[in-house]
Amino acid sequence: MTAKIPSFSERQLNEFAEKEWGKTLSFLRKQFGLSEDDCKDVFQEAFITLHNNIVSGKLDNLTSSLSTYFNGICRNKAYEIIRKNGKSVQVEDEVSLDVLNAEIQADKIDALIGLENESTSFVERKEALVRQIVRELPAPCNELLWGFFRDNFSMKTLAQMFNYSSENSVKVTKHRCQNKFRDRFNELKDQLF
Amino acid sequence: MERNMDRNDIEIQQEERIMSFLRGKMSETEETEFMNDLKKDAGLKSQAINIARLAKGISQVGNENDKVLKESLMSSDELAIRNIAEHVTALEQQPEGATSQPPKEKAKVIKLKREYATILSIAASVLLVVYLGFTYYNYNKTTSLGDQFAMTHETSIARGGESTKAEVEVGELVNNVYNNKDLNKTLKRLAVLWEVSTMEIYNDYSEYAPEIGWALATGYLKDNNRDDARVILEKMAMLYDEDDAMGKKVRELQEKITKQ
Repeated sequence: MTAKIPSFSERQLNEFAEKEWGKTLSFLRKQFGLSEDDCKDVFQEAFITLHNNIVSGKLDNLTSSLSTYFNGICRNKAYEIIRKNGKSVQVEDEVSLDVLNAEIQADKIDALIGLENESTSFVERKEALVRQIVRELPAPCNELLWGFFRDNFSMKTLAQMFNYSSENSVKVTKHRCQNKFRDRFNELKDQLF
Repeated sequence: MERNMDRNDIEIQQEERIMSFLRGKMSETEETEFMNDLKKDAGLKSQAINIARLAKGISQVGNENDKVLKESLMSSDELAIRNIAEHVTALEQQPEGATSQPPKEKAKVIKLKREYATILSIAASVLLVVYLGFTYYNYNKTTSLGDQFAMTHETSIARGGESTKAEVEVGELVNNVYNNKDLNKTLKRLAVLWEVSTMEIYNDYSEYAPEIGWALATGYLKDNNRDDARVILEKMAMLYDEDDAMGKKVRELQEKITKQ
């Protein structure tokens, strides 16, 4: 008997779903006080909605990350469940507002990087190096840095998703991660250039 | 230490200002003031560039990843999506606040009679001997696999002619693994070079990636470190096809490790 080898797409989707499920479960429980079964329902329905929206072309002009968008669907589904159960739960909507207003602007990034006054080819080589480091960030830096810079989650949301005791401990850990990134970048840059 | 903490606090405060700029939340006056401060404060400038660089890298890789994900979602049907969601949510999650360690129980003090204590200590000694014997057996099997395979790959290093600095260095490191010389230091250096040589940007070490990877994997085995050897071999298996000479060796070694 041979085991079925998952296709590339299946592997990608499994990986994405596993990552999202860990975050979603923790977040929905803390933010909305849902039971694990309700969290499962929310997650499964949200995953299908994500698929349907992609297939129907609704996300062709999506500016946020897929993870942020998926989290938004989960939040809406969670509200539906709360309403259906007739429960009155005090939910702070700081999260959605924060995500909407928090996009990092590409021109601002370039303005800061441009302060180094380097040739385009050198900047491109450095960018490739950064991409390499970013792909291999170890935990917990991968969760926090991706959550903060890519998904624009607030410190509070990150604390809820990744089980930190406070926003402040997220802030400190994230800061350490940024310093580690800087050290790694400088170390490899010295090797390469 | 205190000075260090102060520095971190300052950097964390500065970070909020940098993020406010990046997210376009500053007024025009605040922006001008910020840009002026960047010119005057080298520390702030370096921190701002570091954060901007990280944000850009994450955005670029994130866009690539999302593109692949969108294509994967497009190419899947609803049933497959449902199966994945059901499968993932059925996986065991660590309960909230749990650690991987079992809960602590209050220690129970048990008074043992002298004879039971003697029997137990003999049994423990026997178990320890068996455990050490088994560990040594595993150690021997793993390290000999490293010895056996370290020499099987025909290296392209030192082909004669003018040698580059990178070529000389890699050649020395490969020889060190082969001769068990400075294994610890050699493996640390090889690990860095493996990362460098497999980067998407072409560099002095790119050409030697197969030699570096192979020396690192077999070196780890010689060092009785099967886990790290496996990680390197997995990456090598992705880089080198089955038809490739290196690809074949990699798969052969992977199979041997699995059978052990």
